[in-house]
Amino acid sequence: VSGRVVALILVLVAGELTVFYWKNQDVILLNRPSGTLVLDARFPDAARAVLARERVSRRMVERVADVARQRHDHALRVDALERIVSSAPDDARARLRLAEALRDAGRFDEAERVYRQELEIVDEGGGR
Amino acid sequence: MAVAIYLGYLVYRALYTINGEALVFSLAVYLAEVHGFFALVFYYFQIWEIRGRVSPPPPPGLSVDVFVTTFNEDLDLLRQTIRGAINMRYPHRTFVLDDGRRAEVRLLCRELGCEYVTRSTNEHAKAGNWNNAFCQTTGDVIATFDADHVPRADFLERTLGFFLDPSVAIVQVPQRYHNLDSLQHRVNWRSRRMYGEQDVFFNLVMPGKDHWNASFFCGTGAVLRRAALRPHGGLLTGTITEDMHTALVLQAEGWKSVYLNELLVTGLAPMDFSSYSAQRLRWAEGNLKIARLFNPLTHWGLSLPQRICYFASMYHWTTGFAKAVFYLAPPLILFTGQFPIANFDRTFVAVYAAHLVSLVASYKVLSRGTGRLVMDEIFNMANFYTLLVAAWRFVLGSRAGTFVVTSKRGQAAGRNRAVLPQYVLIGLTVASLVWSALGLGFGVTEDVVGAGIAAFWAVYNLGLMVAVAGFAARPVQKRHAVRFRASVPIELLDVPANGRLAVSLDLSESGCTLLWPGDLAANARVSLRLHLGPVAIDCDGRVMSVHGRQRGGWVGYGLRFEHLSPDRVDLLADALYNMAVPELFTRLSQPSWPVRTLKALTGRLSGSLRARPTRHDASLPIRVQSSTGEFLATTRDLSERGLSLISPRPLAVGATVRLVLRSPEGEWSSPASVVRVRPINSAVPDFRTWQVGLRVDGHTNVVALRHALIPEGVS
Repeated sequence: VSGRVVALILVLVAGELTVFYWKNQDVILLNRPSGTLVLDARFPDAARAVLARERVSRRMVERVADVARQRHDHALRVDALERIVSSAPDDARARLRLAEALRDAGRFDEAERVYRQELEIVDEGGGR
Repeated sequence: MAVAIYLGYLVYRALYTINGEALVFSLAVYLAEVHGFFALVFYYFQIWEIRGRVSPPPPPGLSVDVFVTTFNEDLDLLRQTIRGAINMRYPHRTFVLDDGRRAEVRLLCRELGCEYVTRSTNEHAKAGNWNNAFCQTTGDVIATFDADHVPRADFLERTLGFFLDPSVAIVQVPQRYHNLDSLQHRVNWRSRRMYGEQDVFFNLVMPGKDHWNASFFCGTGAVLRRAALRPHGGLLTGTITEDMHTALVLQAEGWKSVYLNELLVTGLAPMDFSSYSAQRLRWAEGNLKIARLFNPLTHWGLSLPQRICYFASMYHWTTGFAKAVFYLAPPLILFTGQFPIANFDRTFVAVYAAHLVSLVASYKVLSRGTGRLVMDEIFNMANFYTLLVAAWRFVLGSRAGTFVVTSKRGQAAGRNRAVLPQYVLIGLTVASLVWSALGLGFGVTEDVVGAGIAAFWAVYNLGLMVAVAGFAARPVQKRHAVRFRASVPIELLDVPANGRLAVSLDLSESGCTLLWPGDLAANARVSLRLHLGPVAIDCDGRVMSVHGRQRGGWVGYGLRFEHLSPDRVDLLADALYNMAVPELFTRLSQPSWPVRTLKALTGRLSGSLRARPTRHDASLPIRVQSSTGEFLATTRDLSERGLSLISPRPLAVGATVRLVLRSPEGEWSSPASVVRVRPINSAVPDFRTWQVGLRVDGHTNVVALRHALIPEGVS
């Protein structure tokens, strides 16, 4: 009986792995090494799909931003960093990275606004 | 205080931790906790004060009928119950109530000298069967037993005295089970502790109910007053738990009940998971149906404590929903990432920790050494689906319950479908753990703390599920008769006198496991003399299996008794029920280790107790030479300074005896003095035995013998 139960559980887990792969192909792709992703044509679609998710880990979004930077895909990089900033508004480093990405994307007004906001926060917070 | 802390915890939960983002899930978990709160309040109310009864002597001249109800049980099983009923010492008439209308049962009754009662239909199942006999008999009181519940000879002597009070209608004794390998027992032979799933009920809840005059009839092992039942024509019908239904109605009418917590009857507990679940489903459906027909909270006649006690008994059967929520919550968290608790911060952890600690501590204190949380949780896991089904049927009123006779024999584990919900839960939980690990690993989610807590909870539940699946998957019971763990000296009569002594590891009416140092071929026939306390039985045995040579040169053999006449079988059964069963229950009634440690520590500090050398369990045949002659006994344990044995004779404290132990390694002999003698509570003088503590004289280290003389597996 226990042998059959173990076999059934293994089948269940195998099925579960299939479902997980089917539902999370975008995230699984993004787990590849950065060097590979920079050259992978499927990256933009997978990255957009990941950013469209309601829930995804910060590590994944950081990876999107990082690979997008290497691919000079500034729009995607900005989207990823905006997602990070919105989920962690107190993260000064993330805001600075967003400002930098906006600047690289040629969106100087927005970059300036973010820089200024950061300066105001630094002034109010006593040099944080 | 624990109740107040629990209440405070619930208020905190309601105010601060209901998760609006997962409202249904959050409320379900919260309601399950509220359910647990009421269960705790009812439980503590019932066991706060427990009543111990002293049995008054039985009044002379009572007219007593004894009913043994049967439907399809084996004749061998029924035979010993009927014999037990007939052999009870107070004058009485025994009636066998056979709803199976079996000619062989009629013949058995004729052979044993009791009366046979049957009927043409099976209307109202056991209650109908009982009432049929009730109408045909006239005894002032009626003792009733299920077909597998063998009463002790002193059952009536111990219970009838309570009927001196004319308002007493019911005297109930606990249901104990002698098949300790049943599904609901766990025995630790080393610590001499036994867990029975119903121990809390019979050792705490029933004595607690008795304090409030709310103990109830449990269907077997009880004596009922005819005058109380006459207006109803016997037991009440209309539910499948006629026992509680009848007790409830009688108590509403002003009758009293008595619970006597003494070992006076033992029966058979379900051996397999299907039978166990079927029995629990019947109890749950029956109890819930009573709640519909006869709500103890609103019905006239009951006192407030009685209302609470009866309601608590019914409420107990509704725990399926709460348990299902607790078992499904971790997989749901792990699959969805939704958490039923908002604001899971330090404050919540502190509040929860205080609640948990107070809960465990109060449970342990009030359970008085009986309650074992993990085992209780395992059986909650075993029962949750059954109770869920019962509650669901109760809510829908979809199906009237049917009386299912509990199987006294196990069935194949492969056909054990009752455990399917636990298997499904195992699958679901494992899948959720894998899913969560994948999600965290690939970066789909990042809530490591939440997933960790849920995973811990899931793994704990998984342990319970696997334990239940393990119970259900146990090997099929192949033996026809229950094997009692009874170590008795056995002589092999075909062997020269100096090497014929052996010992049984277990014993039944049909065979035993024998330990002997010599060689016996498989299928060989041997002549045996079984020393059953003061009684010896000669019989033939056939070697059915050889378990192999063990350390020390002892060999285990599976023996089947052959050509045993019915008289010998009956004698053997008498020895088992009157000698082995009391010895087993005495042996397995050690307090829990914290209680033992505390007792030893306080004894040592106060100087009343000396340090006692560690005892090592060992069952060996031993020859005892005393001033009154020589006899055979079995050792129970050895220590550095001495040993204890089960003796068929009462030795005097201070007396000197000579002990002779023979093993494959040689013979050991030493004088010893008797330091302690305790009688083992047997109801029949012919099978009385004593536990004798002996101090070995001289410098012999008895424990050293253990290595030379005792094979592994004997202990």
